[in-house]
Amino acid sequence: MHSLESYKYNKTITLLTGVFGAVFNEIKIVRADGKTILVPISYAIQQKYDARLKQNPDIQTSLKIQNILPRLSFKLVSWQRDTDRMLSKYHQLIEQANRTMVTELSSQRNRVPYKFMYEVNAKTKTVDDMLQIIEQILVMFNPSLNVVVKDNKDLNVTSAINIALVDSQIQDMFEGSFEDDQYIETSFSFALDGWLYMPTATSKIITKVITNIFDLDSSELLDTNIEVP
Amino acid sequence: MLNPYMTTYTATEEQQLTDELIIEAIQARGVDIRYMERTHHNYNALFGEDPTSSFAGTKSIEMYLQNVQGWGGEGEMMTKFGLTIKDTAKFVVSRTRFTEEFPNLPRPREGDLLFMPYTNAIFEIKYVENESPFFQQGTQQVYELSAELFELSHEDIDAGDVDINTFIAGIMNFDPETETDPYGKNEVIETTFQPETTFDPADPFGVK
Repeated sequence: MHSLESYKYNKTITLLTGVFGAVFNEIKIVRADGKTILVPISYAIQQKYDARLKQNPDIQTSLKIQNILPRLSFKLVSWQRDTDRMLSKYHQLIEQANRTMVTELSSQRNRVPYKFMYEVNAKTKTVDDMLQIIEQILVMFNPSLNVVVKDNKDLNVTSAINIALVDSQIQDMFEGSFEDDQYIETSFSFALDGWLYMPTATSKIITKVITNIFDLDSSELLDTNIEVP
Repeated sequence: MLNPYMTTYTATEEQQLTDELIIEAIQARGVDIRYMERTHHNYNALFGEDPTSSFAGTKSIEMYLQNVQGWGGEGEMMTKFGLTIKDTAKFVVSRTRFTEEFPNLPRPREGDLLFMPYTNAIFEIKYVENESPFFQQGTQQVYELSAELFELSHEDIDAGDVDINTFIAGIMNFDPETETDPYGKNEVIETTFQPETTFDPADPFGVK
């Protein structure tokens, strides 16, 4: 198809996913003995070979343990077109490509509002650690958080992105045999109101006009090829 | 009424002989395991836990590893929190020898740690079975320890052995207050995506 011939990719979803992760980048746990732990966060989906090579690089000489806690991970789960924020798709977004010198204009057809659903998961060994994480996240979203993101570099535009906490629940496994797993996990669901941008077109602006001058009464040609800078 | 000429349940000489044979067998075919006791420092009575637990080891004791064809459990697994190794093992230790080495403990305790050399693995005791084998000759000679690889949560561990402590220091060779690599990507997220937003997670309510 003609509309799919050229490669158009703004990396907007990557950017929004990274910015979403950055919101939870500084969550800390402070223990009763004063020990402070910056909770590690990563995107949930990693290549399996990479995960093992990085976390257990030397299987002959390094200490073998099950895992290190506490941990946070986040993941893009789903998305849907947000009709509530939908505007006319024929509207044009126009911006000077160069802010210091007016040489050309960049334009895009109107952006498309999308609601991206993300999931954040937390795992700790103790209830106290988990409650510290939960409380830091809950208080930040009341009920939502606005984050200003430079999401349209072609037009030098920033957008206020709303991130709302939709749901959260704790899962704890402790019943059963003493040999069974015991764990505490909490999952948070978020809705991020983002925008996807159309391909950018650039066009030169008119900087010079070449014209002829007529006397309208006599229809006499007074001058030709006059340049107006 | 039991036949007084046949019963072995009260034959203390035979019970002692069996006990000595078990100790000899474990010492012949077992492994020296470093036993590390858990100590609570700030016990939370509401949740029944202490995130600041520490572990200290003073001596090793011989144990027989029941697993002969590899660890039990699910092994290496990929989870949403990265690599998780769910290895399990069963160790058998003589009751008599345990009491000799650790007179301060009434028995091996759930929650204490075992370091097994050769494998460089730290296990946490999940359950102590004290009725297996089931009262043969009317007494119990061993404890059977069900253990699972330790899930570290920044507890302090001092094995009381320089070599073991070097292993432990090797896996915790980062400052947990500011660094997360290789378990988290906080540094990458901060340098790559933080500049693209005015939101500062260190000051979530600040306005820029």
